Amino acid sequence: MWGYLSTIQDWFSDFSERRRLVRNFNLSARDAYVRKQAPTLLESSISMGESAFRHAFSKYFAGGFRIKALSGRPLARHEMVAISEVVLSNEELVRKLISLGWDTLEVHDNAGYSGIKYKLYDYSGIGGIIESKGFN
Amino acid sequence: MKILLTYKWFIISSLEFIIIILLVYKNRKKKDLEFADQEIKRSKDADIDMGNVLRSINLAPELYKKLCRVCHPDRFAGKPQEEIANRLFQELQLVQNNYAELTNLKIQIEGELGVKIK
Repeated sequence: MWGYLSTIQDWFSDFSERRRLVRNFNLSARDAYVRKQAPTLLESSISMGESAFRHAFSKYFAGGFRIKALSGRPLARHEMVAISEVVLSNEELVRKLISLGWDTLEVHDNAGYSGIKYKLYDYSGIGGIIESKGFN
Repeated sequence: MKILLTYKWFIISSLEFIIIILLVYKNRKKKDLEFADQEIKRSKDADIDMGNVLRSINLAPELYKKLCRVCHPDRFAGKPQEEIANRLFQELQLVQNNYAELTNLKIQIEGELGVKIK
């Protein structure tokens, strides 16, 4: 019974932690845009993600961490790749994203549906821990 | 039926014994996953500097190119600082996507190679 209660508690604390991470990203992106450090205003949000990239901690219908260019000039593909590389090379950030239930990193332009997706699990380096949970 | 009634207490105690063994086995299995749970908790509680992440996205590429130009080993070929430039250049490749680390490396390059970076 205590196990079920702690699962429910984890779900609520994960929910607030996820919102906090998205909010921190958006605030920092807004600051960078206002200070003219960034040519484009970036915004992060929670999306459905890619079902093929699911892992043990993935949230249902909320496994995508989407970074989208909101205004300024549109993003070229190599710029989207560069943004993804910065996020994926930050191992601490990737581990936090995975432990909070994200499984997909999406980077999108503000025009149309062009974008790229990455499987976060491949960039985490914690495969042994996830597999030891007995899920796959 | 008579046998069941005769040995009912034995059957009940055997069932209780089996349940206790199952609970002990389940508890042992949980301890193996404690390490994994600790690692996951540590990942969840990690404090990420989002300001550095955004600076890395926007400013790191330019700073990285500047530092590469300044401390490329070919610029110091045959000079005493060649080995230092080689080491610093290799360190540069490891932190090219981290603006905070690039800034620290910039100070190190200026100090060890004696160059001024604008």
